Amino acid sequence: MTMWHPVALGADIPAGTVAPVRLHGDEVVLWRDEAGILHAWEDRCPHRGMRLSFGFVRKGRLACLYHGWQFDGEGRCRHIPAHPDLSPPGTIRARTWRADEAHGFVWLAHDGSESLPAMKDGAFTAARSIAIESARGTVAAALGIGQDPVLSRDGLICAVHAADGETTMLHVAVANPADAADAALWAQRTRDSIERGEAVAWELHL
Amino acid sequence: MFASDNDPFPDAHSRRYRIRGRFDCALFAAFTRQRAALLALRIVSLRTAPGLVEALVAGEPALLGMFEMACALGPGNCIVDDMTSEACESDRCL
Repeated sequence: MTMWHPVALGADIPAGTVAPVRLHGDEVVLWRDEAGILHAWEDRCPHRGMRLSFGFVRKGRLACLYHGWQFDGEGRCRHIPAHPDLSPPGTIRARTWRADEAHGFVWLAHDGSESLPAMKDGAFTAARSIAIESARGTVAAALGIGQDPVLSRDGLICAVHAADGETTMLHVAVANPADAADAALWAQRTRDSIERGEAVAWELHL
Repeated sequence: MFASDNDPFPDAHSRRYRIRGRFDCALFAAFTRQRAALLALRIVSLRTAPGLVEALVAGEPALLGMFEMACALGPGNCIVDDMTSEACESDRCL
């Protein structure tokens, strides 16, 4: 069974940008090419191990900041600046994750072949991703999420994922774009409440 | 150079590397294999002794250079004290 995890807000990765995320301790780089296609790879250049999330997007490729090795959308190395005449062998490639987008969230899967399950239709506006210094189980219990990765309540769409054993990321989107700013503040209040061990207040507008 | 009708690396060059240092030889040997695979290089021979890894490697010269640099640094927890590299222009290196 393929496990899909919501790891970021799609709006936080505009075309031509790169962002790091952690999932269960694994470091992953998300990047979106100029055409808008999202990619997810292990956040590690196969050359020297530099985080690819420090790199930059150029002409549909992700270039490592360290030595400029360029990788195409499939993760294959296509250019090595120190050896411009060399055709890099196909063995030099980044390790890829499966990535998809739904509900305004970026979803990752490491294993399996099943597609991201279909979700209820609807356009959602990204509000805020925020780190909570609590284990995922604690955050999920406080929000009433349980084992489901996403909860829809009072116009808020919340998703959580474990960055590691001690840190959980909360991602918040809203059905009404006018609520985005308040939802971002709600995310901060919710983080503070959970870290203090207090109950979560669901009122969006204070 | 290696050259024969059956050679999958007809344009390959080869170099012999002798790496001395403070490391687990099995760990370092595994690292050399992984690096060679990553760089599409062929390890013709690989032998180890305490504090020594010796590898004869064939492939594209630029990629051999990358392999050499990687081995000079080595994997974590390994210290390379000395490394030599020599070109092997004929089968006498085998």
